[in-house]
Amino acid sequence: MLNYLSIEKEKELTMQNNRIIEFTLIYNRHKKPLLNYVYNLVRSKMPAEDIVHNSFIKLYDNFETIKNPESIGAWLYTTCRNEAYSLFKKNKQITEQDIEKYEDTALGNNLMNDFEADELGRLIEEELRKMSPEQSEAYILKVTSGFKYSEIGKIMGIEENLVRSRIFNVRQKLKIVFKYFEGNLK
Amino acid sequence: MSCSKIETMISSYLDNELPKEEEAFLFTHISSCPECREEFKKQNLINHKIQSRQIEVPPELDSRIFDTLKGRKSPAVLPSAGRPVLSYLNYFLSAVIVMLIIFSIVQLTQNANYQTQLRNVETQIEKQNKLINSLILNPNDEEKAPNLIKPIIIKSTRL
Repeated sequence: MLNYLSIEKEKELTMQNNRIIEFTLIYNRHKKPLLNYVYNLVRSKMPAEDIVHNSFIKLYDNFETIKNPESIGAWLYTTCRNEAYSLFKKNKQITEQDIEKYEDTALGNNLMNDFEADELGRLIEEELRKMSPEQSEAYILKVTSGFKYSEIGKIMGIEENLVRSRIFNVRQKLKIVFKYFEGNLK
Repeated sequence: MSCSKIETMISSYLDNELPKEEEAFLFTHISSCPECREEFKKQNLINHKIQSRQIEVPPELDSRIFDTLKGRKSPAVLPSAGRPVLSYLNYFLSAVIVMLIIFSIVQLTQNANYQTQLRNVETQIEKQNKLINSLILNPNDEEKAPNLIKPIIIKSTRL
């Protein structure tokens, strides 16, 4: 009986170790694009890190319920998205104020840091921040995670064609940065 | 094909969503159209800039997540999750064996009772047979057994 119990315990430990290994692989694969996606949504590092932290813990707790391993990525992004949007609802006023404040500083910085090495990158980020999350989310998801249009559609709950057109529209809007950039250089 | 359609194709190409058979067409057009070539360069540069400006995951976040997991019991250890099917089968078979043993003990006890009752009945029959035999031997001695039913005696008569 004791022998049987020790075998069972050993099996459980092996399963637990396998789970941690599997979790670590998933974590290393998704942590950076996920953090960037959330960061672009909430536009602040601390809340973004909190959301990513909570989502990975939720993933660990619900490992058994996610039957299809391929859907883990989509599950993580959807969980982060839900958390980010509930944070928006909670702090709507604060976020809007923060964005306005950020935009003001960004416009001021435009004139001050014209000749920074990565000026173009900074301008692109600012332009993205000016857009509402609804506008820029599909594009950010595509660039940070590399998901297919269909997968992004599932995460955002919209049609694939709408994903395609939203991404295209963001790209068209982002072209404006070249005008700033070239104007600043002159 | 209009240049606006090419802009859509460029966007799809950068997203790895343009069908392979359309790529040749796209690049043929780009090589001959300076505006579209410029558009391609700009969009490609924007993509590259965004990817290169991604923030790194701070090591504190790594340790925070794994520290939280350390203090957590893995769901696999919980009795309801991750337990192999064989384990449940073992429990089921053990329960069946215990029930069979209980059933056998009950059956054996009942069998012993029946045997005792049968032996009692046999003893009674034996006693009754002896009594009947004794009555047959003394048919006129009715006073000794007044309550007994008089056994039927068939006398053979020879003509």
